[in-house]
Amino acid sequence: MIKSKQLAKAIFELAEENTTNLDAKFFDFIDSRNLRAQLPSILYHLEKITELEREKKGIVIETAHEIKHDTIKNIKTFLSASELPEVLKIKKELVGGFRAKWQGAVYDSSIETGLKKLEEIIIR
Amino acid sequence: MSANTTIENLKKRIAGFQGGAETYEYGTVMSVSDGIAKISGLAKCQSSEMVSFESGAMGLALNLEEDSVGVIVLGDFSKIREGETVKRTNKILSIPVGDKFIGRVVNPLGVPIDEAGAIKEDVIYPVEKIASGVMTREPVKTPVQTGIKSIDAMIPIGRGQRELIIGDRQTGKTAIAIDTIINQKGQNLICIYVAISQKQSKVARIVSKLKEAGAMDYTIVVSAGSSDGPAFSYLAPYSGTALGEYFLDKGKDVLMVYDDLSKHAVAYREISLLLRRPPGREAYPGDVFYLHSRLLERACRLNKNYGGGSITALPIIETQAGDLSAYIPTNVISITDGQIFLETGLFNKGIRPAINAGLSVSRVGGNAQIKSMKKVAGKMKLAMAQYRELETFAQFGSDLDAETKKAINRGQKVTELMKQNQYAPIPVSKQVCSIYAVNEGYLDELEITEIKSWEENFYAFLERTKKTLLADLLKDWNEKIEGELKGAIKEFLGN
Repeated sequence: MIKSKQLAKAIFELAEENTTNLDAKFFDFIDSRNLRAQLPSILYHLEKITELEREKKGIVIETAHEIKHDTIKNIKTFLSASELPEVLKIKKELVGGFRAKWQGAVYDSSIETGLKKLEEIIIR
Repeated sequence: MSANTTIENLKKRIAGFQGGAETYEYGTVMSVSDGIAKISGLAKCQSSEMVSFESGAMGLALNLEEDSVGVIVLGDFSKIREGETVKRTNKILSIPVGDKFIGRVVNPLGVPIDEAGAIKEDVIYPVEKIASGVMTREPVKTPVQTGIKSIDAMIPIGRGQRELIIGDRQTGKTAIAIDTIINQKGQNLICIYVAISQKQSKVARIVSKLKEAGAMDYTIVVSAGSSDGPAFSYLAPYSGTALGEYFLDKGKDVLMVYDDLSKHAVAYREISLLLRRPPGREAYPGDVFYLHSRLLERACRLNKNYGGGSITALPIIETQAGDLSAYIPTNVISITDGQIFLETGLFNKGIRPAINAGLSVSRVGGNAQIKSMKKVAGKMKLAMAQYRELETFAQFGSDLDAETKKAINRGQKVTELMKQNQYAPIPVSKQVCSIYAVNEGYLDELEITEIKSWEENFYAFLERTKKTLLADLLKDWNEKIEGELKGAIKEFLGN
């Protein structure tokens, strides 16, 4: 049986290739294989793949609280990533500061990491 | 320490704290199953590099592919989630090593599992290391006395040798290794027992036996339990060797026991199949030979310029129905410098250790034998070879000529003398005395059932009255010593 994750991946790749009439073809396939029950799961995986792809192509900025547009712009300029689209994530556990992920690298200036380092020093 | 001192110390540490941002490379978990994680990203990751999962687990990068990295998870992988961040550590897998590990039971990451507290060692050694080169080595010339008569006499092992212990299940393979460790008391040899995918109960039994015999004072046990997963089993022998190399670099002699490499190969097969590497013969991956050859090549005898230390390896292989020609046994036989072959048939006949003298060999150990043992063992081996040929005629009894009868009788006595209880190693000088006695026909008139008690009494007699002779036998062999030994045997028989 085809897994919903595989179907989501396939439809994402076809969409990337600008396949014509993709919707109709996809639903014809789903109907012919009697896979309608899998649609919610396919949607879940498709959203996840899209999000991961967006993160992969852009810059993910994680902060503990909402930040202003200007601040985002400053961060992107500071990291020489002004051209990249940003994905903002709120992570309360960071306490303060920010963590940016782009092109396989992380710039971590969060309070959480600072506190962890301090904890290590005190215990050692 | 007063509260004020503590406060001062804390203040100093906090003052020395340098915060600031950090940068590192990261990847994302694409999938995780059966202890194997596929990571996207980590473009610059190196082979055998340690990676750290956000959930706390550590991993070892094994497969570097075009768009992903295959990682084996070291420890609990149940908390790892899809999409989780994985951090590069820029460190090749290493473990702490040091003198404080002696007497301890640790896992393959060097973490103690014997509830005797943490081990604080600052020295770190890589788990995988290229073996010592040709110019750093020298031939094997110092013996490892196992305390087992049949091995020390017929299949001698030298320091720096690799001698395979091979046989079916329940034939006494581990017993030989443990007896060898027990016999190293005062021999200036550090022993490392590596348990690969063994039952925890078996490891516990071995540790208690070693403690009982006082052998834990110079032994380290590295244990990867059968429930710890294939990653730990795969790493265990390399970690054990890294510990051994620490002592080797200090110019010491080390004995490594790998119990057993069949299970190690199985663990590696499991990892390779999960990493989707192409399966070969018996579904083992193509590099299963290299898996063991790179491990056993680390056993060596270094020359004086490089410290003069040694690593002796006793790998163990379990065969199925005595089949020596299976894939892993043939591989390891070809890598090692000889093998001790144990047979179920002999074990069931009560010949223990159940060593098949015909199929067992030691290619380099002969040079390491002490002079007296070399002298007496040659004659005994000849008697055993004759006996093996004539054994089939033994059933005809009276139809045989006197010479044949004599050879069969001698062979039977030698076979009986070679029997030995477990956990009862015998000093090599006493072995020389008993073997000399049987060679010279002093035991020919005894009944088979009397041999054991004769041997015990003879050893007690030597211990009581011939201490100088026993010491001389360790140093040399000449007519004078032979004469004294002959006299001692006659004196004992006269009593």
